[in-house]
Amino acid sequence: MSAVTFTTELIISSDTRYLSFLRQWVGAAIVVSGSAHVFSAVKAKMSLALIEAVDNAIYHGNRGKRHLPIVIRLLIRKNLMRMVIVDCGSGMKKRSRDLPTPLATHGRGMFLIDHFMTSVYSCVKNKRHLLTLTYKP
Amino acid sequence: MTVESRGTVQVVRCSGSIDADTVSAFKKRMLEIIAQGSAHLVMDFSTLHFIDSMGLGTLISLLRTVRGKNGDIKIASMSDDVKMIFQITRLDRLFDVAPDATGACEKFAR
Repeated sequence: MSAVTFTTELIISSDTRYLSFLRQWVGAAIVVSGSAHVFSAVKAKMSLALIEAVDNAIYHGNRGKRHLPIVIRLLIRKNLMRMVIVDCGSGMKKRSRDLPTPLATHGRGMFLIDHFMTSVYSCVKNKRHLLTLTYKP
Repeated sequence: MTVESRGTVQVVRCSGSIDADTVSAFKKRMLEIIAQGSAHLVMDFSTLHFIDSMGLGTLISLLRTVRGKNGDIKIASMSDDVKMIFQITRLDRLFDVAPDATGACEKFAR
């Protein structure tokens, strides 16, 4: 299959039991899209970025309310991979991109996302928070 | 998770993932081990495939606990993916890292 544009979408509840499945989903999408030669080397980084974003959606966006949905869209194109995570929250506060102090127990999730992705964009539309993660090799 | 005693050191072998889904059970078990008097811990990550920021935060919390008891956590046998995360977050400087569990145990004897 040639890599033109591959899109897939998942809707999950705010439940951490999906995390393992989501990591496999990213890996499978890379293969099915025909872009394994481009993205296989960064599969672990893309998976971690997605998991960190979904953690944020579960605990911050949807405040741990299990029944609230999270929509995850994955788009793979030649030399571009984009993940959009949609939750029911009101968006993100202005945040530091710095690595927290060594003994801090929080604050590494967004740092890792920023580190792995080429761009990170947050916005609110129709009372939904959209976090768009884009990677360009 | 399996635990093996090697003298005064407890070698904890973690499998699979330490993430938001598993971190509560992981922390509970680790605190039980520490409460039994073990402050010299080796985390054998040879079969750990994934760790996220919540897992890292829990490891740091446990490290603070055992260092408060004059102990330490040493980390052994990280996969390339896990090692990458430790390097990016610079936790490879906070934790004493060894190539394997035996080497990590020997560090306690020095």
